[in-house]
This record gives sequence, C-alpha cells and structure tokens, in this order.
Amino acid sequence: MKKVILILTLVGFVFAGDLTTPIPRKIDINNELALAGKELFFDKALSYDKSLSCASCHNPKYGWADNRAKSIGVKNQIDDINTPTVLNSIFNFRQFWNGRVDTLQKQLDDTFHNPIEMAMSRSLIEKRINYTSKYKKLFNKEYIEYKDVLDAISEFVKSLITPDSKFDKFLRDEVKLSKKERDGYKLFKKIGCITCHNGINMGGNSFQKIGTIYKFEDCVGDKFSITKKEIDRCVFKVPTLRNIALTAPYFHNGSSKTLKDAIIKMAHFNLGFPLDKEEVENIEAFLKTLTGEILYRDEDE
Amino acid sequence: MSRTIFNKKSIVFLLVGILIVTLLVIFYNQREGYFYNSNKVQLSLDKIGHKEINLNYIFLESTIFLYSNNDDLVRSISDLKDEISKLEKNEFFKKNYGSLYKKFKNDYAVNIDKKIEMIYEFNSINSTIKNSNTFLLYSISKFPKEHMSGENKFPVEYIHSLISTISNIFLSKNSLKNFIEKENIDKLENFKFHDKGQEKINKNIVAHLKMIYEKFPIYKDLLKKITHEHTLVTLAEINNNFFNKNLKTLKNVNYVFVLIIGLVIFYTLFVIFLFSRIDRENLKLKRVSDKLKKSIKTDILTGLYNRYKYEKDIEKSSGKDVLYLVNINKFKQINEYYGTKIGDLTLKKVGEILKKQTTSYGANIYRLGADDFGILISSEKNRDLIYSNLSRKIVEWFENNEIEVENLKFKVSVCIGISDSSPYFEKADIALRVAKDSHRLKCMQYSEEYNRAKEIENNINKSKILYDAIKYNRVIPFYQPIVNIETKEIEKYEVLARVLHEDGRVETIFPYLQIAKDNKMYYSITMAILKKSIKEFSAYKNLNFSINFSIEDILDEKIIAYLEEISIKNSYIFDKITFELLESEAIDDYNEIKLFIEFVKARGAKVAIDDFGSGYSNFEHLLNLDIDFLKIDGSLIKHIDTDESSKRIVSLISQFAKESGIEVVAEFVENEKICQILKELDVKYAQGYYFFKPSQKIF
Repeated sequence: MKKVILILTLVGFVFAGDLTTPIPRKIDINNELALAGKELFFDKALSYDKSLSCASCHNPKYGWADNRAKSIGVKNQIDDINTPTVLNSIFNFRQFWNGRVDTLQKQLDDTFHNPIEMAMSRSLIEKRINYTSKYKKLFNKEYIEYKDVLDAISEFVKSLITPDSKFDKFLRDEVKLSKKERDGYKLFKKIGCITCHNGINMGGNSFQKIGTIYKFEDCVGDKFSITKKEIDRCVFKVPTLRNIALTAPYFHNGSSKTLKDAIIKMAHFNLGFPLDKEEVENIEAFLKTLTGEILYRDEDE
Repeated sequence: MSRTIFNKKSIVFLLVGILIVTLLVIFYNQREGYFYNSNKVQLSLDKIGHKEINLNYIFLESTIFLYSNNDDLVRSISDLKDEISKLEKNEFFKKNYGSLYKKFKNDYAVNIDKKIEMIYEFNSINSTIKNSNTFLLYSISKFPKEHMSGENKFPVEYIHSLISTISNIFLSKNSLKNFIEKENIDKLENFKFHDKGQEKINKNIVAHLKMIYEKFPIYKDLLKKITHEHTLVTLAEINNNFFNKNLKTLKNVNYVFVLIIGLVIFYTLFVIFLFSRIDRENLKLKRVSDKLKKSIKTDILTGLYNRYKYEKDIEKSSGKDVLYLVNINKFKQINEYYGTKIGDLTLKKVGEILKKQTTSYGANIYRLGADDFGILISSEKNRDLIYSNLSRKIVEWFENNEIEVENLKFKVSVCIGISDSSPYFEKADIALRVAKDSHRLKCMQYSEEYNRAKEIENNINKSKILYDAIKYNRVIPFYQPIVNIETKEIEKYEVLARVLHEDGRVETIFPYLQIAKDNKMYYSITMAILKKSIKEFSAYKNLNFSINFSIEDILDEKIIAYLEEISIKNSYIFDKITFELLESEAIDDYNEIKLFIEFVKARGAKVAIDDFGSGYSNFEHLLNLDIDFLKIDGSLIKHIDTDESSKRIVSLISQFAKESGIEVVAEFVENEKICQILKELDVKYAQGYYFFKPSQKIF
C-alpha cells in the first residue's frame, strides 16, 4: 500500500513544464562587429607566439571544439582540460568547465591571459591589432581597444548557434524520430539523463558532480579548484549535448573517445547502473539527432 | 516723489513675487525629482522582492518535480541578480539612504549570492537523489516479476530490508527528517548472494543507498538553509524602512510645500491688500483733487464759478455766447455803510438771485470781480430776445425787490454790460462803463463805438504828450480876437491854451483837459497860460484879454494865491483880465464861485460865463452871480443860420442878458450870415473864424 502511494506521488510530480526547447533560428547580432570578431577568431596574432588562433582549439572541423583530449597552448604547452565547443555557448549559464565566469567576454579575457593558452596581455593585443589597418577598417575605428576585441569575438561566438537539428524539428512537430531515436529519447528521460541535460542546450544550465554513485577519479579543473569547498569536488558545469556527435573526445579530460563510451560511463558513474547494448545504441541514436545546422559557413577557407 | 517711491516699492514686490514663484518652481521640480527617484527605488525593491519570490517558487518546483528545466531556475536567478545590480547602481538610493543602501548591498545582496550558491549546490545533490530515487523505484518495481520468482529470486529478508530502507528514504525526503538507518544499508551491503547477477544488482542498489545516506543530511541542511534564508525578511525590512523614511521625508516635503503655498497665498493677499489700499488712497486723492478742482473753479464767497473757470469756459467758447456783466451800483457804499460782512452777504445774495433769474437759460454764473458778476449763456437761439429779456428781467427784479441780508432790507441796483463777441469780458466791461457813465441807462450792449480800449490807449498817449508839454514848457497861449460886431474892432483877446508838439504842430488843449484833471496837471496848464498871457499883455497898455477858468482853478488855493500875488505886484493887470468861468461843468457850490468872483472883481477884473446854454445853465443861479459877460455856447451859434430853435434860445439869452446888464459874446461865428443874425439879436461881441482865427501873436 505504501509503495503504491509513493509511486502515485512520484507520477504526479514527474514533469514541470517543457524540459527542453529548440534553438532559435535567429539571434540578434551586430553583424559588423561579429564580422570583425570572425577575423579575430581566426587570427593567430592573438596568441603570444602567433602560433594559435581561437580556431586552433575551437576548430570548426571538430564541432568548434578540439579533437584532442587536451589542447595545446602557446609554446606547445599542454592544457589541463578538454576544449569545449563554442557552439551555442551563448546559451550556457556559465563559461568554462567549472563555470568560473558568466560572460563570453570574461571567458575570452581569461583565455587570453592564461599563460598555457594564449599568454597575451591587454597591451600586446592592442598593439598587434592596431599594427595593420585591417581591423581599423573592420571596426571603423582609429584605435581598437582590448574591450573592442573581446566584444567582437563574443559577438561572433554568439552568432554560432545551431538551429534546426532533427530533434528541434521533432520538438516543433516538423519531423518524426526513428524508432531507435524515439526509444533513446524515452530512455534518456526515464533513466534521468534529462535531470541534468535539460533546457535549450541540453545541459549548460547547472553544476553537477561527475561520479555521483561511483567515484570519478580524474577531476582536474573542477569547481573545487576555484571554491576549495569540499562539496564542489568533481563538480562541473553540465556540458551541452548539442552537436555532441561532432565534439569527441568527451568529458573534461577527454577520456571518452566515442559517444557510446561516454554514454556507458555516464550510466555507470552518475546513474549507478549499467545499460544494455540496445539501450546505449538507442541513446546514441537520439543524441545524434541533436546535431544542428551551423549557421557559420566557412566560405573563406 | 511719491510716484518714484511707489515704483521702487512695486519693483521690490515684483522681485519678491518672482523669488517666491521661482522658489516654488525649484522646490516643485526638486520634489518631483525626489518622488520620481524614490518611487523608482521603491519599485525596484518591490521588483526584487517579487523576483526572489519567483526564484523561491521555481526552486521549490525543482525540488518537488522529478524533472525540471534548469533554464527556468537560471533565468529567475539572473533576473533577480540583474534587478539587484540595477539598484546597486542607483545613485539616488546610495546618496539619500546610505544606511539602507549599505544594508541592501552588504546584507541582502551578499546573502542572495550565498543563497544562489546554495541553490546550485542543492540542485546538484537534488539531481542525484532524484535520479537515485527513480532508480530505486525502478529497481524494486522489477522485484515482483523478475527477482521474486524463479530460480534467481532474492531472499524475502533482503527484499524486506530493501523496501524498508527505500521507504525510509522516501519518508525522510518528504518529512525532511532522517529515518535512514546505516545498519540497514550495511546489512544489505553485506548480504551474501550466490548469484553474480544478484550481487551486481545489490552492489548498484547499495551504491545508491550509500550515496543517499551520505548526501541526505546535506540535502536536508541546504533545503532548510535556502528556505529559511533571511533574505526576504531583510528585504522587507529594507523596504519598510525605506517606505517609512520616505514617508517622513514626504511629510517634511509636504510641510515645506504647504508653507511655500501658504507664503504664496499670503503674498497674494498682501498684494491684494496693497492694491485695495492704493485704490482707497486713490479714491481719497480723487476726492481731494475734485475738491481742489471745484475750488479752483468756484468762488468761495458766493459759491458761484470764479474768474478762472470763466477763462476756461471762454477758451472753449464757440464764439456765439453772450456775456452779461452785472455790476452792483455803489457797492462800495454798501460796504462802507453796513460793513464788509453785510457787503459780502449782499454779494452772496445777488449771486443767488442771478442764479435764480437765469435758471431757465442754462446760464453759467461767475463772480468775475469784486462786485462784478458774469452770466454766460451759450444758447444760440433768439439771441436778441435773450439780451433784452434777461437783462430787463434782472434789472426789473432789482428795481422792484429789496434784498434781505441779516434782517436788513434794502434795495440794490445793478448795471449790466452785454457782449456777444470776443473778448467778451472786456467788451461787456466797456458797455458796462458806458451804461454807468450815462447815469440813466441800466443796461447796455457793447457796440464798437464804446471801444474804451482805444480811448485808454489815447489817454495814455495824451497824458504822455501833455506831461512832456508841461515839462518842456510847450503849453502855450494862442490868442483869438473878440470883435465888436457893430464896429468890427478888436475889443479883447481870448487866451486859448495850445499844445506845441515836438514837431512844431500846434494842437488845441481840449482833448487833454480831462487827462489833466484826472492827472493833477490842470494846475500846471492854468499857471503856464496865466503867467505867459499876463506877461504878454503887460506889454500892451490898451489890450485886454480873457482867460478860461475852471471850477478846479477856482478851488485851487495855489492859483488863488498866485492871483493875489499878481494883484499886489501888478495891480493894473487885473483891469485887463476877464475870467471866463466854464459853465458846462456842473457847479455844485455856488458859494465858492461867488467868493471867487468877488475876489477878482475887487481887483478890477471882469467875469464871464463860458459856453452858456450848453449844459446845466441855471438862470436863477446865474442871476445871483455878479458877472459881466455871457459867452453863448458855440453849439448854439454854429447852426443859428439854419436852426430856428438855436436862434430863439440865443435871442432869449441875449434879451435876458441885456435886462440883467450883462454883455453877450458869441463864439464860433464862422460866416457873414451868422454875424448878421447876431447883430439882429443884439449880440454885442463875437469871435470866430469869420473874424480871426486864434494865433500865437497879438495883432
């Protein structure tokens, strides 16, 4: 009797509104600024030894992320964390794996000043940017300030959204999912993936611990490294599952090379039970429907 | 003087008024700005409150529901944080409500940040627990059909323990009290299974249970902390304090506002009061000025218009007015007889009468001089009728009525001069003088003949000429022979006074005689002629002369004294002189004349009456005088050849003279015919142009 009441209670409070929403087809962008940002995004002059541009690690070829587990910074230094995609990053509630900043500008500032990553200073960036007339024209400005650089790149990144994924179309009742995909989505909800991977970005809107049921060993760059609070150990910003098929390898340390592996690992560490082969395939099929149209076309290259 | 003070005053009033209004406007704007800003803060505080409540709601939703969209939570958090940072940037709040601002920033905002951190932390734990709950429910839901039957069924003891533990978990979660027993979990963990699958299932279940056991206290604690967070209370406090402080300020502001409004009202009333006072003063001034104006126009004694008003009216005159200048006859006598008080009252009375008599004519009555009244009638109709009617009416009234002043009743007679053209007053005055001079006429309308102005000018001229003549010894005797008509021989000479002008022209003295009389120069003329003729005739033993003597001369003691002196020095000369006394003058005192005649006759002189028959000739009186000659007036002789009555009168005189033993002399004998008639009428002597003209020399 007790059991029945409990189940009924649970069933009564399963969903609270829409758990996810489609990516909008359009977003308000200052086009001129975004164009300047695009130039900057691909400009290697923004790294200390001019070896890297933003695109070196946020590589359009790999879903605007890095295909390497850990990215390489200036002077061939190896970064300590996997590069997340910049796609749809405007929809994330915080930036970086540990969510230490809340705006794209701050993310950029952090990355520029990181000695392992771009290793730049404010003045050096301004010097490099104002060296040629290229940016003066783009910005329509005599002297480009550091802030202008941050704003421009942010504006460009903001424009990198991926609407019209199969899943979004499904949400808008434009297409139907295949059986596998549908079963995957059902499972995704049923077993609790959606508890953390929800919202417009299917993630990116809360802090969660990796390895809640079974401990995840490698938690480098977690929230604890910022707050030093015990409760923040292994806590990261939940990564987005949008375009997840494009952005291997997975996790903060890039430890999963395939999507299947990542699904199995998440089931084990965070859900605390194994999934059978079919279940994994179904979820994978569903996750692949999250790949959207990238508005940016790499026409220049 | 007073005007400039008023202007200064009004400028000060204006400035003060402007100052007050400016103050009001500035204050009003400040007040409005203050209210705008404080309302903004109030609104912001309210919004923050709402947003926090919204956050609480969404947070609670996420704890109750199994699945929730974290985007909602994130959005409500960022909404709240945006609103807070907006208020943190509000300078007005920071400046004017320092302590509240500090409390807001250091207490509320900081605790909100903590709360948000806790919400995120809770969210992590909650997600895990929710998922575990789902897993556990999912797991036990499988037991009846998969694990409780067949070969690999779980032991009942295990199942019992598991269900009990899971039930406790749900109980704990719903009651927020920890009913989870570690022993139970340990018991489950240590349960021995033969089946590897069962062991694996148990392992996962225990891992979940352990996790829940571990996290539940934190879960409970965080939930308590978040739901019991004081932020909303703090915010309510801030809001309340702000409201009260604002209310207090509002009250003060309103007091000041009312004060300023009061000031404005007071000032307005004050200005109104000033205006009304000025009005009252103006009214007073107007009354005074009216009085003054009236007094300027009015004669104080009679209450009639005065000379000034008359001048003003005349300036406006159409030129078709009629002025009656009414003068009281012998007013001086009234004054002297009854005293000036009665005199004044008489004037007043006369004024009243004139007013009464002229009411129907629409006349203005003026007092123009001491006893001169003016009646100005502007009517253009029946002018002739008006003159005669009105003047007659006035004159008759005074003739028929007595006036009564202070119980005294007496008659007053008036004389009226009338003029109907400019200059009215002067012309009416001339007419009045003419009427007066006539002694008979009571009213007279001006006519050009009476142009006294010319006369006056003449008089002035004449008196000047005469004065000079006397001064420079140019009053000289001319001699006209008197002839015996019978023998045609010169019997004697009449000495005639002539004025010798500077240019050598000789003029008869007659035009100057009145002037001489009026100006006390008569004596000089008589003396000059007397002396010169005496001197002249002293040289001729057989020549006699006659000399004109007026009543003034007779009464002049100096002349008499001179004659006496002559008679002593040169007694024979009196035998030569005939004194011709001018008959035409009214002789009042015959005794004086008698005495004079006696005086000269005693010394051998003869006496004649000159101009006999012209004026007041009184035969009876003449008979009483011891005279030698009668000189018949020229006016009778001149026309004796044509006028029968003249001839008769002359004949009568001649007869009378002859009977009285008086010789008769005729003047103005200008032709043979007259001479002939005179001869017939028994006139013995004659003079005139027919015989000789007067000349400077003696023939």
